[in-house]
Amino acid sequence: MHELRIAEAVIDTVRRELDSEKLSSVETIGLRIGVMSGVDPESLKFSFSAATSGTELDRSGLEIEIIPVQAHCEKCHKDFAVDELIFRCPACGTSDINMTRGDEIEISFIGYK
Amino acid sequence: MTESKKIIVEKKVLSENDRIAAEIRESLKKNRVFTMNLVSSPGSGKTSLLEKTLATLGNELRMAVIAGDVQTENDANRLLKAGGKIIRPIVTGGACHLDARMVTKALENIKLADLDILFIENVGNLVCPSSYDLGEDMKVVLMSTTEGDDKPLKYPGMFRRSSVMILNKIDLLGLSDFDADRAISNARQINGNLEVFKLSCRTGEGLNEWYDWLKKGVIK
Repeated sequence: MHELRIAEAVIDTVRRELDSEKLSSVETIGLRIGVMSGVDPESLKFSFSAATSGTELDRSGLEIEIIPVQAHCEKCHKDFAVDELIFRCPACGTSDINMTRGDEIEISFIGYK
Repeated sequence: MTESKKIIVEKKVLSENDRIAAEIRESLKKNRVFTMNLVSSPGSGKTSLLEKTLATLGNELRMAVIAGDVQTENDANRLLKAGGKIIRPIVTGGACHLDARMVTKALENIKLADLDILFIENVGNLVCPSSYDLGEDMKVVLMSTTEGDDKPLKYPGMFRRSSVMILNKIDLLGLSDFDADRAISNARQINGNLEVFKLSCRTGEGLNEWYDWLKKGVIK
């Protein structure tokens, strides 16, 4: 996955959310990255570091919450964790399920001084 | 010491792409264009499938193709040679996936009201395209018998997000250890709702079922 593009999109969002004079006081950007999102958290941190180097954001860092895969069964309405890539309801066996968590690429918060 | 403050953002990182994709989707729906985003590893047969489809159904259905690649317009040129009437290349120059902004640009000068089907042939890549909504009705994932039959397990995100799976190059079954039943069962473990087509673009086997399905999709 092109983590540098994702890092740049995070930086764009931070610039839109905060006045420019506050940017150098940003400490932490909270992200939620789902296990099935295709984004590698360590690559993303590295890319973010590279993309912010020499800018007002170069003292900021990413705090990444990794979100495991959760699904909801449309037949028996059970909510369950998807382990081992088995996308079937553990209660009734149907594959008529929807993933509810696990492919997030989200910014949850910006922490600054 | 200054206290730390927090702004709650709660935004998707790719929200700008999602916004543009939603606009594309609305346009396509308004004009009743059945739109598919074709994804696969490089070399599975996306362009071959489109060549055959355009050549065979070109007089029956009004189709357009947006063909994306990192470099060259080779795919678009092949599709024109096969009889495609509305073909738009996208050369990303480096991006490993198409995004909604690129698709919007490619749709300029295409009269959607005159279309039955829009195929978007994505860059050959089973990872990155899965996060970029292009405004399509569905994703169609291709794989071929010259790949590993565990492909769906290696790329669950893409197989999960697709509605249709096409297994191409069935004429080559038996020349490797590829097991078609195992590949399909792996795919169904990831996504039990996948509609599966087994075909060979080269020999034509199985293509009629694909054409029939396309025609039904247009009527819907």
